[in-house]
Amino acid sequence: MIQGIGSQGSSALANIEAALKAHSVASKRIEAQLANTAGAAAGASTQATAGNDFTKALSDGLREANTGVNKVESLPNELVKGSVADFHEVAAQVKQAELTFKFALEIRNKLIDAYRETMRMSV
Amino acid sequence: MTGFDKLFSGMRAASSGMAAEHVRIDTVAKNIANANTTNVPGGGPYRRQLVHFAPLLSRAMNGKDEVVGVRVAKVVDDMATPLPRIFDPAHADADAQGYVRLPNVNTVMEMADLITATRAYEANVTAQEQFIAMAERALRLIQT
Repeated sequence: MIQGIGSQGSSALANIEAALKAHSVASKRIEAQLANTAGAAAGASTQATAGNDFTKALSDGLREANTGVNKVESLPNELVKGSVADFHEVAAQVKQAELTFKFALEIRNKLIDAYRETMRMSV
Repeated sequence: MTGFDKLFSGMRAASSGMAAEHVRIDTVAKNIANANTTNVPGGGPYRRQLVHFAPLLSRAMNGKDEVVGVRVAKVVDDMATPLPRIFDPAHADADAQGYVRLPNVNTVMEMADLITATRAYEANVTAQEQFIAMAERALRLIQT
């Protein structure tokens, strides 16, 4: 089960990063289109900066979540080897990684929903 | 302490409490097991061991220490409770007058300690379960 979290974590992270990349490509395209329209350029550039900040914050958070999951991945081995004395700490870290991952997954789902919604929009 | 660790600090505090109570239960078990040990390597009978707790501190962003849980500060020998003496000349650890000094472990008291330690442990388990339930309920808010 713990292995499951870890492997899901890394593949999910790849998915999320791909989605983020698609999101930033799409937002750049929109930005370029808006830049062609005179007058809207100033507004577009501020919006694009805000978008990049959001993407950065999200990927930073995801990286942190992934670090937590990776840390937990090695715990069962350490437990079996006997180098971890405190099984409460192991239980807490496993649960923390599980919850962090679930939250990250939900945020990713919401983001992809928003992206799809944007793509469906008729211009 | 990173952002996620801070988010889960309640859970970590409860788990540190569980670990600390675990040490207390272990110590009670050791005391009961040695209730009749009259000769320890250092000389003399076994002395009852006591566990002392201290807050687990972590340096916060503002440079101040904040309490993030509990830890076992030290396990010390009980030097205050006197060692009972019985007359038993046949005992291998009897002195010249035939008296044997027994450990200052009171099994009834140890059982009472065991009950309080177990209840304290269960309280920490409940705190952790509630924290997890809370987080999962918050997760359900995002899902809907």
